[in-house]
Amino acid sequence: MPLDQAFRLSSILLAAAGFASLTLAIALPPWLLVVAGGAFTMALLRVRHPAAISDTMHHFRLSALTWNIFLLLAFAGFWIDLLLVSQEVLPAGIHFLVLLLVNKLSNLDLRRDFLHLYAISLIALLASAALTTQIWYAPFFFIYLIIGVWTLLLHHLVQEQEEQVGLSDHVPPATTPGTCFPRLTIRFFWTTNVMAAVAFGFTLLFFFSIPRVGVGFFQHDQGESLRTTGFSEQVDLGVIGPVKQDPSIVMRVELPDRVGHELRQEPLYLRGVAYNRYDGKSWSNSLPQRRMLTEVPEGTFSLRTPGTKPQATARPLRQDILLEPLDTAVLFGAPLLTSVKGNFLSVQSDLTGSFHLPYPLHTRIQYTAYSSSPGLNTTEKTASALLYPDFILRHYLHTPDVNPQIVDLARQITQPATSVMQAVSLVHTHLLTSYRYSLDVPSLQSSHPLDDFLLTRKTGYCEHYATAMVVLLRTVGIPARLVTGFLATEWNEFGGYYTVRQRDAHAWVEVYFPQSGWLTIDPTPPAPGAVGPTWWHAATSAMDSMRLKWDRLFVHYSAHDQFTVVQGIREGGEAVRAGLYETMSALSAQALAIIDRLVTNLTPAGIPHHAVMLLLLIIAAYAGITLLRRHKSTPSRQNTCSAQQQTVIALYTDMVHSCARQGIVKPASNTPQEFLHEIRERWSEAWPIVESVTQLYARVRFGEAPLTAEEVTTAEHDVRRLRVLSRSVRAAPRSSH
Amino acid sequence: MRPATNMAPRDFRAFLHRLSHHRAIRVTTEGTRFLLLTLAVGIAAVNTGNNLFYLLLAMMLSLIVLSGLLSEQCVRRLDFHRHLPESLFVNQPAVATLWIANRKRHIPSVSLRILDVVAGQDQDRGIHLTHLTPEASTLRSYQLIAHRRGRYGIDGIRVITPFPFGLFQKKAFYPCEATLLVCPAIIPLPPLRLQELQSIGHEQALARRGPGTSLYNLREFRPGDDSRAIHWLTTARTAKLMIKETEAEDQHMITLALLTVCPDEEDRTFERTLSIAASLIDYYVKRGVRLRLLMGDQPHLLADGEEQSRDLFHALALCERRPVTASAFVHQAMAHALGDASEGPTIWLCAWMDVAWFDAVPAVDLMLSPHTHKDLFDAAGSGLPA
Repeated sequence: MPLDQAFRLSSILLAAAGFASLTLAIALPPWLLVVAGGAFTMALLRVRHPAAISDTMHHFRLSALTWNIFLLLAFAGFWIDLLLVSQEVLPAGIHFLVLLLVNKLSNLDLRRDFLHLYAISLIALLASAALTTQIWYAPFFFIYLIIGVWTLLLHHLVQEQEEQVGLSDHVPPATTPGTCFPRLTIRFFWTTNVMAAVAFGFTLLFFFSIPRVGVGFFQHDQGESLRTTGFSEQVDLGVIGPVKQDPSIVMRVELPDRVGHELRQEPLYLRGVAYNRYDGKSWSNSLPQRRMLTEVPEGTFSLRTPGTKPQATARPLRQDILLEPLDTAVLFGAPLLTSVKGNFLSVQSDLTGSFHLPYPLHTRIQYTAYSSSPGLNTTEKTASALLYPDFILRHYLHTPDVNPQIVDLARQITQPATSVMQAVSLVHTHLLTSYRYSLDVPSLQSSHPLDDFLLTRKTGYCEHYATAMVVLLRTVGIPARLVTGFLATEWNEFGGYYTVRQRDAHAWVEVYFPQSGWLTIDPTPPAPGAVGPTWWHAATSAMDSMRLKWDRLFVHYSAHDQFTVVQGIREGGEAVRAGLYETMSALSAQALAIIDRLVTNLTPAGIPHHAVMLLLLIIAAYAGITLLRRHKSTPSRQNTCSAQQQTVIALYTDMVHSCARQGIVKPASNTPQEFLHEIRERWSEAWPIVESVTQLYARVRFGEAPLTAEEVTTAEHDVRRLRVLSRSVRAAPRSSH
Repeated sequence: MRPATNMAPRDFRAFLHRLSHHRAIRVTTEGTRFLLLTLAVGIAAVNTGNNLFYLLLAMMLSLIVLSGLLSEQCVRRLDFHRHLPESLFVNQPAVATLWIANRKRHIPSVSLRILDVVAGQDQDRGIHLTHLTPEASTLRSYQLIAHRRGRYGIDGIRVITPFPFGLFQKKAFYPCEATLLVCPAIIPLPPLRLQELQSIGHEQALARRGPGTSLYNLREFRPGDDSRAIHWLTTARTAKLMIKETEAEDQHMITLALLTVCPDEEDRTFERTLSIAASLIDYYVKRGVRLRLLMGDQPHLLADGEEQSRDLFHALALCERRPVTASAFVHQAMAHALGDASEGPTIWLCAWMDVAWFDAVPAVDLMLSPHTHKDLFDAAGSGLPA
């Protein structure tokens, strides 16, 4: 392809890359898409078939005045759009930008038109960056970068070519007769791609190293928050059911301290909110009082949940959570949360141990949660009766007007139990075995959803199971509460994290034991999951993993991450230094010990031990210096001359020094012949001598001719004569004084 | 090499000067726009904290850095060798040759503009290299025109490349010193003056045998004579071998006496006088006349033939104007030198006449001065180039 054709093509592709990213970021009106698409098609056809299109365009070409009127109309349209239609600056501006793009694509004649086109495409890419954080931006950015390098390079080369042939600023069509541009070669193709790859490498380097000092004056929330259910002050029984089909991703959870295979089969409960009051149809929290958590150390908000006793041996479970923008301020974490660490202004906690932000954030947030999951105390495992605190009895044993049949059922289930824990297990087993899991339950319309579940229909989902267990346990005097959150079961093999979706919304039970605290029990049997094709699952997992990495590394890269990287490098450097020091110390100690033994064995009786040591040191130092000198005297690549050549170089250098003493200095840029000519001009008496030595020098040094002993003697004699001549010339002015 | 931080301030300044002398960057118009756009994206990134803006900023910065690195590779490790004429004349183009080699093993040099650095100023010679492959060399010739008489010193070579994106122009300086002499301009002499000049000395010239074309004598052939000189017509007529002898052509010598005294305000006239002197030398040398040049109080120079006339031109190139205060000394020295000369006519050239010493001027065959030959000295009036 000729250079100028490639240049035009890359320019249009660059604009297309910017426009495509814009199209994906914002829904453009169809008429605008059609107009822009038509402009791109025409521009591409002009590149491919310039002669035919130019002839056709010649008849339909709009005048400059028409285009100016078009631009004025577009600008007026921008104001109308801003004030009446979209009523926002960004969409109106983008519509105007697309019209400018159409104008430039239709009038790519002058060099400045191309420059304007590049600027418009860059602004389009910038606008799409302002509108989205989705992963599709990454390939578009990469393509834009590659084409950008091509375009700028071709722009420069075409300009240079035109300057050489004396063309004006006007960029001729690709096949203008008389304009001959070179064709692109394979070598050029690969060289340019390597340049683009290097540019991409630098881009990543700069991206990660530019200090994040964003002041965020014009920062705005990106996108809308995801609607969730089950985390409000009051939750109706059955609200979770409708979202159980929603595959929207809510959060991603990494467990950095656990190995992947430990987690693969193990579901992870992510606790949100706990409820203690049930009125027969909905759950609410009668303990809504919240308190601010103390921030010690900076960024870490800790809590000791009232009613829990932290076990000294319990190892906290660390979870790195990337939470999508939700319409709730709840912070999720494995039961039971003890602290959270993140870039929050403040974190609050209620009396049920739930963590809240002051208000919902409409951006993705990333935080680390620490949880301690209590195990059941051995004493309490077998205790037939437990003594509960008043606070617990007051708030966690309340039951609504329960159907007497349910009370009978509870007593019937727990009758064989000899301990509290056994009673809990019996209820749990009864619910698991006697009821069927189904989402097809019209609970919200029912006036007694629990009765329907336990006595009539015996079909339900997590909320029904959990509510039934809490009510059954409370009926027999065991304090319990309902917890809503998510049950993460989707392990991403590629990213090593749990993907949590809306459909993973779940409800379960926490049972209170005075010494052990709140124990998590899930009475819901596993839902019959829909098994899709394995390749599809793998593909979606891989895609999600990439999306997470994009979010982590690019979208949410922050000053904190930079600080962590720097700290990591510093710690790594210190570790390497310490390791190196230790290794060197060990080696030197061993070497000293060996030398010491050697010296002891070799030292004849009567000679001081230290004297031999000193002697050895001197010998070692001498050997080192000798080796160093030999290394320095090793001829380098430039000095790979034969002995004969070196002799003649030395003679020539002597001669040049003699001339320099006479004021005729040989610049490095002068050849020997030029220097000889200068000598003839400025010091004619010395010319025959210099000429003789120079000829010999040129013959041996550059012609690699053999050097005879007679020639060396003659040259040495000549140099001596020159030295004498130089001295005599310098003495002459002195004597004349 | 000592680190820059330990340098004394003066050393550091010298170091900076050397650095800026050897490498410089100029931002092109496109580059300025690109930098402004980068600045705008940077401000947007800082203000919004949007990481995708930071990504775009990083892309633009990477293009700037890549531009710097590639342009540096283009101007590195080049070798230059210049071939210049020994001397040249004012306003008369001469051909110079430049040998350029790329000493890099793998990286080509692209889009190079090569300029001469004369007295610290870049002089564009129109040399442009689109592509110079690794370890390759090329030869370029260009026209060299000097507008002033004297020594013309070239400090070195400036290499400029806008590669790869045309956003910046990287400049590199390669020291490649050279000096050449610029002789006074040779101007066409008016026809009337040429007749006058031709007649000078002819009356003093004695006809004698020698190489030439004009007939001097016919005589009988003697052994040892060149058989090619036999005059066959006369031989046929007289029935004896007759030989043709030719008259020696222009064997006379002319002395050009140039008065170097001239006040400051007549500097242009002085330069014009030197031009006239150079033109006379050129005129006479081409006609085989032997010349003697006497410049003020300096020793005279002799020239016979074009080869030796170069010395006269070089002397004119370096001729220095003497102040009016030296008038007496110069006049005396010239009168003395002309008095010693016994052979041939003398042309007296002066840009300015000292009235006090006018009578001391020895008798000459032709005096050329602004007073006597206004048309010759006044470029505007004579229509001759200045």
